[in-house]
Amino acid sequence: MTTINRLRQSYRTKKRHPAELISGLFKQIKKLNPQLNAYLTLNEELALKQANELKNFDLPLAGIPIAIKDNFCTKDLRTTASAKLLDDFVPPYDATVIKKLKDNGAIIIGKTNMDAWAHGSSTETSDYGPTTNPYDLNRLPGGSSGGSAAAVASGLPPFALGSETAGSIRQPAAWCGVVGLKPTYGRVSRYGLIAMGSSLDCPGPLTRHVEDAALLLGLLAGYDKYDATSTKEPVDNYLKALKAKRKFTLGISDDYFEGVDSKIINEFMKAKRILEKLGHNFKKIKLINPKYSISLYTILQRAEVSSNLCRYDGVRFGKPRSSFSQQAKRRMMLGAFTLSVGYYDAYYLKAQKIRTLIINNFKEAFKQVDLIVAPTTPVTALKLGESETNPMFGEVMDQLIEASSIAGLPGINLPIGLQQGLPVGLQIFGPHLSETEIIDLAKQYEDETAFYQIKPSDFYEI
Amino acid sequence: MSKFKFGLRQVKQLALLMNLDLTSQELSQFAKEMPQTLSAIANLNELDTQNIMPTYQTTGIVNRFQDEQINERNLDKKAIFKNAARTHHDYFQIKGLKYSK
Repeated sequence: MTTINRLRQSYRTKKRHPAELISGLFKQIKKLNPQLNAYLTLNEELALKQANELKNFDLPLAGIPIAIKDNFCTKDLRTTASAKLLDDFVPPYDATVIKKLKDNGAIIIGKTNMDAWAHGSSTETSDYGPTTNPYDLNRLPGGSSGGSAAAVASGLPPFALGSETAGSIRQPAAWCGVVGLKPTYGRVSRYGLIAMGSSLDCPGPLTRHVEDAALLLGLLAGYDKYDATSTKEPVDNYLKALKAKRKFTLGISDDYFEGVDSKIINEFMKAKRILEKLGHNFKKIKLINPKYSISLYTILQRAEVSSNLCRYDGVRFGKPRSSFSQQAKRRMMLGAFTLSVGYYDAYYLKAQKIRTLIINNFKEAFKQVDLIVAPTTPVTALKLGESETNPMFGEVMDQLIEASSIAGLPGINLPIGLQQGLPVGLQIFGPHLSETEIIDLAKQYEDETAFYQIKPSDFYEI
Repeated sequence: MSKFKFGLRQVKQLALLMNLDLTSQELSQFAKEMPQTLSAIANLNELDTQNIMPTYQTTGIVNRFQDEQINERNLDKKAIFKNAARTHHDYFQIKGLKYSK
């Protein structure tokens, strides 16, 4: 098992050198990427140069390879958000999270595929073709951080940065069987992240171990003066949380099992028994049915998208607006409608009021329980082509995640097993800034189950 | 939610608002799809929002201002124009604006 700390330890004791490790990694990526299509752009030359020059391994991420979702601006490295409109865009600056990764010694391997502009939950709406699921190449990896999730699942490398608006870290993590941590909105800076739904967007790590997610979150989190919505609350010591081993009262809501595949429910029940065995109590709570989150998110996301995509005028960067693919156009059109005079109150305002109801509902729930657990997705990875059958595909796939995102809450996906060869995910979410508790519980579950041993057949051990 | 009759005219208006040149095939497809999406999200009417205040952001942060200062991440001219399709003497160059349609 390769964790960031173990890797760094092997560098320090001179058992390994990052240059050898990273050149092996690129070889394997080039072998598998024609099928996986997880990477859009590789940073091979610079990554190898950085690895070769490394002598000091004091920095927490010194020589650690990491994959970056292609909606984070990376200085002098092509950034497309999987949209042809940005086909030749080379950012003149680094996103804050990229700067933090670099400042901590990380080596960027490349930019990963995603749904174009992050609009979707399949990675099938990428203008550069779909990423495939490492467990079954005829299936979807989920999305929008599908390239990052597929890369981590394949070990290419086992660490990646993703972003979530409402499901885009946790849902692909569930379908690809990896850990995906979505922090509290505002906990991690959005500066330099290509905006999708600005009141929801949140960067976060995808990894194979809870420990790595905790380590990366600790380095990425914190106030950023370039993001006015980032919180000034002090960053907890998430590494300490890994050893806390507290007992929690966990909420469970019947509404989060409606329409969920029975095979997923079975797997979830096994995980629940493990959590009970570990000494955690379960308590039934009543949450607003996720079917309303689908509708609510559809309105909020389209509205924010229609406004955010206005900046792409082909003047300062990017190609003309005619380069937008159909999914982006579809979303902008609906967003323009829900925000227009005469319909604003009925759609956008109504949606923002229901957002208040959802927040209040969670506040009540968290008076009774510490954290909430549920399945992450209603189904396991679907076949390629399925996302085209429904203009609200993403919203339906993310239905169990959307409410917590809309309320700005943090959450994590953990792999809990395979069903017919496909990964099943469990999500844990909690109140604002409860990452410490989430990581604590996640680590206890990981220690008990060693879920990281579940791997696709092509897994590459770096 | 109010009933909205979607026709090509309405879809064209939205496309104009969004500065999108849609093909006739796209126009008719969106005219067909949008009412379907709106009816799929109509279940929000089942929730009572009387006397409920809207939430536009979840952080609770109010009126955060930034001091006027030199931004150390300011870009130089070369970086700013690097990705532009057309420039002219340190200006972005655009096509003439059209107001008619």
